Amino acid sequence: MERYILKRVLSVIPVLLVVAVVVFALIHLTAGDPAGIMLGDNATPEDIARLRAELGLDRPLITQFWIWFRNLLRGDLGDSIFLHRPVLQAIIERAEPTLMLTAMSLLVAVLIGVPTGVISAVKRNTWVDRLFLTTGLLGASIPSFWLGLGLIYVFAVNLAKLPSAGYQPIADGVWGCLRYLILPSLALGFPNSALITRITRSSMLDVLDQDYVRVARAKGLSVNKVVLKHALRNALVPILTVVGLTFATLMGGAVVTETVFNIPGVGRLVVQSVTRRDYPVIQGIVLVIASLYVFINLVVDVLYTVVDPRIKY
Amino acid sequence: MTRRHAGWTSILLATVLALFMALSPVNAAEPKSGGILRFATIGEPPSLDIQVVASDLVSTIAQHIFETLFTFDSSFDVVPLLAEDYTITENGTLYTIKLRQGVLFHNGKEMTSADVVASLNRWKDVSSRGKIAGDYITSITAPDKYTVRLKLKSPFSPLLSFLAFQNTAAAIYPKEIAETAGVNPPKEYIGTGPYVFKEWRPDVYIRVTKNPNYAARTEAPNGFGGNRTGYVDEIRFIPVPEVATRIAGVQSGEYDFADQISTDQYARLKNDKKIQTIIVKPYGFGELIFNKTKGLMSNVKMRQAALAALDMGEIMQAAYGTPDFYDLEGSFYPKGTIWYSSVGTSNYNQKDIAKAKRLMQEAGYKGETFRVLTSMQYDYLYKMSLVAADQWEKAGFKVELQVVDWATLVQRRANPDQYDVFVTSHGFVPDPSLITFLSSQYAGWWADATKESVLNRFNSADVKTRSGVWGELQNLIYEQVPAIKTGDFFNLSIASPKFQGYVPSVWPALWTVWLDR
Amino acid sequence: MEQVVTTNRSWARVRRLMEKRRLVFVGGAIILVILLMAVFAGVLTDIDPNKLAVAKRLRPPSAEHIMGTDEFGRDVFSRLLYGARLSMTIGLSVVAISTVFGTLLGLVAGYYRAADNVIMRIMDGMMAFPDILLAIAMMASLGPSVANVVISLGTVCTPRVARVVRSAALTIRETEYVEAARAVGVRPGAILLKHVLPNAVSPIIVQATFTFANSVLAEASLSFLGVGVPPYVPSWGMMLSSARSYMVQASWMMIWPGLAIVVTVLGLNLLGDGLRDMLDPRLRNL
Repeated sequence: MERYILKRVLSVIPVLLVVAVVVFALIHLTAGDPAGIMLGDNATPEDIARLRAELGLDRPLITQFWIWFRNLLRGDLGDSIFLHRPVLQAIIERAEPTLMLTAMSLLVAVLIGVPTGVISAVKRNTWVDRLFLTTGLLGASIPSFWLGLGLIYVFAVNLAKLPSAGYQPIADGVWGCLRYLILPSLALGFPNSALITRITRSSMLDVLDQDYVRVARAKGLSVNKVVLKHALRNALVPILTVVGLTFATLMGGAVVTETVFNIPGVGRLVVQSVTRRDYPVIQGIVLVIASLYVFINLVVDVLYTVVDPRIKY
Repeated sequence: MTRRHAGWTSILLATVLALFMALSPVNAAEPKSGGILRFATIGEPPSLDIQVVASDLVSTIAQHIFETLFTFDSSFDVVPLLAEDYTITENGTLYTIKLRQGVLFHNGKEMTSADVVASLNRWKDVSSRGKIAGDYITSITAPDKYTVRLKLKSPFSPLLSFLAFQNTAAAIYPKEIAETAGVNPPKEYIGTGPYVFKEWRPDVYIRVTKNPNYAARTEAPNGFGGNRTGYVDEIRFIPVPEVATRIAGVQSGEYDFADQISTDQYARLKNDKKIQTIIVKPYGFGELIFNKTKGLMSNVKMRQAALAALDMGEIMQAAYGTPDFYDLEGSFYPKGTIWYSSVGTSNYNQKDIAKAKRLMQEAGYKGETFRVLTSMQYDYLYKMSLVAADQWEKAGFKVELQVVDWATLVQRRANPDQYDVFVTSHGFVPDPSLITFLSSQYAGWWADATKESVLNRFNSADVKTRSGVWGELQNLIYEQVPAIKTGDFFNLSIASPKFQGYVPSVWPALWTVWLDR
Repeated sequence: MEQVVTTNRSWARVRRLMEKRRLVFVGGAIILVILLMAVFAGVLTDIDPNKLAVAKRLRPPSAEHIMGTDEFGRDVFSRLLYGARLSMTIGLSVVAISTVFGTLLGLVAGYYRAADNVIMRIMDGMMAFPDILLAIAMMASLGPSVANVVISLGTVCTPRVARVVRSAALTIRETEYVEAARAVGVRPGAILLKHVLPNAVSPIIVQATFTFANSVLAEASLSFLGVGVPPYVPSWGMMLSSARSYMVQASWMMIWPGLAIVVTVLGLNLLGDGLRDMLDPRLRNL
């Protein structure tokens, strides 16, 4: 098991390397000189030359990558052009709302997805099952921003019960913070619950079909007890995986949701940075989120071995 | 010479006051102090350098922190602010300005003539309007601690308006900051204003707090003048770029005040008991500004053709929705002001496609691409340009609509190779010489000998004859078509019911506001 | 008891199969309708989607404009139809790009052990980015245009196809007939095309359907955020972006494009689900 964990940890390195290369390549996708594009058409040749030197654009591509990569390893993601501060600092300043939104949405997705999945599996092929699956499929087809606008319309504008926009740091009060997150996390969590419903249902079905569960039932244990004690626990592994996967989707969805609800998080920053042509910020955010995703999946994989000792390597 | 009290504008007709009726406070209930005012602004400003950045947003926020020597009262007369009084001598070429004593910067130091000299020197070098005035200024000196002298090479009658105006303002910074900043934004935002800069969390808010040591004037508040002591303890300028979010935010009590609300919403919002609607009138006018230096539109006949083709009613309706919020007026100044003139305005709103085609033919137009530069950031600008482009297409222009973000538009319009016309709007300014496109330095570059001589005459003219010269200048605008005025528009703001004491303005000033609880 | 359960289960399987075919049918029918709308947009309406009629702006649905008009007086129904054309064009192009490149990469990775590691690590790295985020970042560099939307979404969707094809190829390369072909000296290219590819067709088709659904959603999101297609292009996401400001007084601007997206994506998801069940019984329960 230790060997597997070590192997799995090491396998992250090439992936992160690819992530770094892709992020580095992003800025070189533009036709023309990135320095000129960053500074705009109004820039003087001296300005452009200065920025080129600053970014090392006058050197061979490999050297550029190496310098960039070396800074990266030191935790230096460069400086934001618009915000006049290090990119990492800008990201950290906006991390809380994004993490809170993602966590809350994940919670919403799990709270909807797991129970419906379990019920679907237990009541498989009944109308309940079909209702949940169809609703899930429908939910997965709704653009989260459309759902978000609908929620704002109903709950914030007409009922005026919940804030329609903005964010309150958790340090200023937990309930206040949560109030701001209710609508956004519903808008983001619901469409993403469908996948969790399905995975839960199918892994529950697999487990329910296995002999020991059937034996347990034959022994006269109540359905609820069997489901909760045996089946759900054994179905945890695939559910855990999908939760890890959903996290990435949620991170991506946060970009749109934060824009709809005007939440000052990392996602809104990336959209604003596109308009501001603040490439270092775009690169930094993309890099940080991708690395986070790799890390979370690593943790999930390692958790596998803990949750499910049957898996042998 | 006698001391004058900004005499030229005092000839504004009494009717102007009626026009600016909106400028009287919204509510006369007893003011209350304290509380946090949350103002949903249209976005994030690049800096708070009020001297340099021409954006109205920067003026709006930074005027709470920085102050100018003069300002405008509710009838747009120039009144002293940091200045005590002033004299104009030597045929209008020497301005001697006495400063108020005991005015403290937010860092605790007293404002003196040294700060004013340093600030005005920076202003005339780096601010776009400062540069215009700077062309006339030969020296700025400080004969004593509380006196500043501006020497001009020839009379420049709008100088006090320039010193008073809060966009690209001649704001007074501490000497050390004004001298070291250069073209870059100052490292610290230290002013003399009623609010102190506290914190800037990008994309979250800019926080200013009430200045406990504010040196207020003793006169009653009047427009931007008089006593400017604030009521609320703290103001948060929260960037909320989406207009729908601004509306919903005020409705749900998230924000106390929001500016630049889509006027299409007026019918609905005015019946909403949970909010107040505020119309700001006059507010500004839409502009289509041609590139006169290079390319297709450097030909005056082509510009005349473009003007002839437009139907302003359609353009303004698309941009502002209901006629409550726009006025099809060719004169650059509304009726009732001393600057109102109908000279040349017969060329406004011609809707004459046949004439346009004839002019295009005379100009030898062969279907070259007509590049229209616009941005989605301000939706009314995009709407104006989309409809104008549609009308030009119908007249036979081969239009290419280039939709870019605003920052790109501002960059691109500075390059004569990149566009033929760009869309923008201009806030209502108290004096025509503050209108940007009149300067040959401004994007689009109206550099023409006839215009320069008329403009010079206008700037040096005696107060009584200036309005006549302005008529000549307006006529020239409709003949040479450096820019097209699409029409006047007004602004819709919304506020929560507890938002009281507001004096509607292009640049919302919140020191008059209190929160009723 | 064992007997009963088995019978029940096989009955259930049959019933489920029928049910799933119904999914293919319903999903396919939806997509067919949307495709027909896209192709025959010009026949279904004679109103130009870009025709401005400012005097008739924000009109509620009427006989003339069955879905009302937008803030420029443009016909919402016409823009919806041409929006379908755009969504279908972008969706199909993204499917084409990602399928071609993904299949190539997947086949090579699945067949050549040496290439496998390199290709799949690169694909893993690409998949570490949330789709929409990578697409936004690419659009930031490329600039807003329909072609660039296709390029970025194509790039974003390729790795998943590659992964699916690779795992199909992996199982097939070990089968006896492929080994036999190799033994008699058939060139690897021919083996890939003749033996491996045909066996990977089912997962490719299933993946293509989901790619299609994702690109419709992603294009809408990009355009909604203002980093997709230029604003004057009739696109569902763009329509929703401008509808935002008229949410209350012109709800039709908000409702129809949103419904169009939901129905299209739902159709594709149903189709994909159904196809997966039909073509790939191993994933029946998913």
